Amino acid sequence: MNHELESPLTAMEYNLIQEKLLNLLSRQVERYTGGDSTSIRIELAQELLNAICYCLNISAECPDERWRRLLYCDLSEEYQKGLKSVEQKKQFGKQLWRAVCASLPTVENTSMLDTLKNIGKFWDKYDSIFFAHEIPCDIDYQLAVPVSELYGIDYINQYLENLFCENRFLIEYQTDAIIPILNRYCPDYKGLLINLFEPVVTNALGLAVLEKSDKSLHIGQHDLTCLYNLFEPMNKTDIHGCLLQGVERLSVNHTAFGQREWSYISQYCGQLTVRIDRLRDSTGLEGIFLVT
Amino acid sequence: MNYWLSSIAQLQAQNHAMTLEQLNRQSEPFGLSLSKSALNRLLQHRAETLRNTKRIEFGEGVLGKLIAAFCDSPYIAQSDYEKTLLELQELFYLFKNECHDLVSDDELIGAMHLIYNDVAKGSTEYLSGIDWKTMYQIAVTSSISGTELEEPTLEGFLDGAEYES
Repeated sequence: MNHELESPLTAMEYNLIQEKLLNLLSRQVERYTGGDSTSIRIELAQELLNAICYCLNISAECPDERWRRLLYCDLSEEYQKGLKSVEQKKQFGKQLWRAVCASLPTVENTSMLDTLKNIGKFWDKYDSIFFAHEIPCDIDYQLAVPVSELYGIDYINQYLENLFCENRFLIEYQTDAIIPILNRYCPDYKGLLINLFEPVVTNALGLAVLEKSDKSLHIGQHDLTCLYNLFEPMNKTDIHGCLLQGVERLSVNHTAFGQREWSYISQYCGQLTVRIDRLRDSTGLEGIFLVT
Repeated sequence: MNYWLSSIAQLQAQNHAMTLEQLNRQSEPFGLSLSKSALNRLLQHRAETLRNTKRIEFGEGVLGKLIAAFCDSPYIAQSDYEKTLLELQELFYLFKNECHDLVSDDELIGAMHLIYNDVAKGSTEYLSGIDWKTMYQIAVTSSISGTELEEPTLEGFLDGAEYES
């Protein structure tokens, strides 16, 4: 959604919004100190302000059209609505976390399990009142499509949704089909910080693009040559389009998935396109589609 | 750091909710009062100190509380009233930082007042040399007892002699 200012804020509008924000910050500081201190460190004031802006869904640094709507509303009320929304997102996130924990793939990865344990502790550590924008959690397991430009509970919830999509995809395949792929990708796939979904979905897409069954995830040397011949004359746009067709073919066989899962895999295709485009003429496609 | 937050902080620190009249009403019974220009200098100094200590202040600030606490001190005269308040104000914000904001404003002012009137005998220089852990302990216990500032007693001296023998 575009929030760019339709017209610049006037000096009076800017000052009025600043004053409203400052009054809100002043009350928040009083709450934080329990009225025991009239002054705080400026870094702490900045973090409290960042949290207020997070709840108001505005950027503290860059005024945009969302700032303008603050001119005409009771900021305290808007802030309370924002706090309530954060709390609702937190409750949703807990349910999502339970769902992710209940649908782990059969192949294990230590960093995934540790990350889920850490997120389990996040629910108690997360201070939605004063520091709603923070993410007091170690997230070691990297997703194929990283979460970016999100903060606080929004980051955690998006991370869990993405992880849920990845793991649901992994569950679609037999363990015997997945393990050879992972062993080729990284022999210590259990202990190292690697993403399990990426090599599996990449092979599945490769087979789908060749109009072959993805059930075994097996790509042979001949398949690799066919993929190279297919992609070699294509530009990036064509490669991307070809991969998205592969997504459509996969969706015919995996009817349990919904729009969210296919949207996530389509996003991954963007990254895969870049890798194919960069590596096909240098190292070839061997490091991308894994021959087993 | 957010530019407008720090610039607003600067502007705020120049203002003070309590009027000159209100501030002087507390201290006049003890022969102490501030002029308008003295108050302006104190507020300007407050703004500088907050900037230097990287703090931001909301509400009426601590000047009124400092005056209320120290105006009855036997060590403050009208001739050095403004200077002493400037020094106490600066020390207050420095100690807030050094004590990691673990003590409330009232606790810290209480501790400073206790030390200033007792062992410091009216010396802000002495006060400035207090270790933050000692200041913290005095602030939370409201007592110098048990700290390095406690003056040795005869019993304490004799106890020490017993240990030596």
